[in-house]
Amino acid sequence: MNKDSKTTARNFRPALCAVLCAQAIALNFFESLIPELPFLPPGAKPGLSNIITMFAAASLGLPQALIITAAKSLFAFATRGFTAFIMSISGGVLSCLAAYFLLKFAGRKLGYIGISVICSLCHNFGQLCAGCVITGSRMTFYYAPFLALFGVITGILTGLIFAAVLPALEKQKKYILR
Amino acid sequence: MKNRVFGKVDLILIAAVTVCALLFIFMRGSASDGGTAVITVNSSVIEELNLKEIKERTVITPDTDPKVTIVAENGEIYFESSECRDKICVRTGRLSKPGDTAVCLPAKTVVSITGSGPDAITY
Repeated sequence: MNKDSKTTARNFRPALCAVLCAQAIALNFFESLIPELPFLPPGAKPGLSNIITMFAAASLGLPQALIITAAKSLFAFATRGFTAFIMSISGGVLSCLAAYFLLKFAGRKLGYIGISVICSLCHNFGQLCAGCVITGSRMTFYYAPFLALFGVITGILTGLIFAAVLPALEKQKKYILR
Repeated sequence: MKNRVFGKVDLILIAAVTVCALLFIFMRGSASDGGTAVITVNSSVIEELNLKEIKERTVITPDTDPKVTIVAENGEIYFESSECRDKICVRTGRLSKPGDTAVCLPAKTVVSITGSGPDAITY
């Protein structure tokens, strides 16, 4: 009986991963509806879908978290084109790796907010590097301090939301992997 | 998972990053104004303009896809319009101080201002 439920749980892991993919994409889409505000760096977004990748990195594993990041980037490719895809995947992968390793090795010292802030900064850094490669100009790093400041704010925000929705995400996981 | 939400290390991290970012932003702001605007397309410099010497409105349309229109006037330079989707370059606004940069990623176009003094951008 116990063995049976274990195999079922393994079979439903891809289903949970797919649900998380959909949720990450939905959050991404929701973000695109937020209008640009004049006092924010142009093009900056809060990165709410990082909540989902962080949860996947923590409770499913690195491959699943990377799959969700890839799904997000493909969504960006389908809706906003190739440049958006490159910007999404460069930041997403770096942020995903940061989330996984920080949760694994620094979880005792850092809280969710600290981890989320570092993820946000990694996301920005990856995007700056991609921008630097695309344009061939180092001047794109001019945005760095502004993005860092914005990244701290959004990192705190997503960290707080992550802590708040964690019980719901755990419940969802239990429901699918029951 | 039984991590904390917020702790001392988090606070130190946030404070350090904020202070560093603000330092960079204010250092940049103190740079002497007036400089040379450099327009780079596809990693090659296509145009250098001395913003102080420009009296009349100058329009530059580099050969890019999507098309962008860059305007220099009154010691400022900016993306007036762009056919790209996100218009981040246009929203960046007018550039006048050394270090100011506007980027249009789809068009691979960078407009930035380089200063003359040693306090110009080093990052």
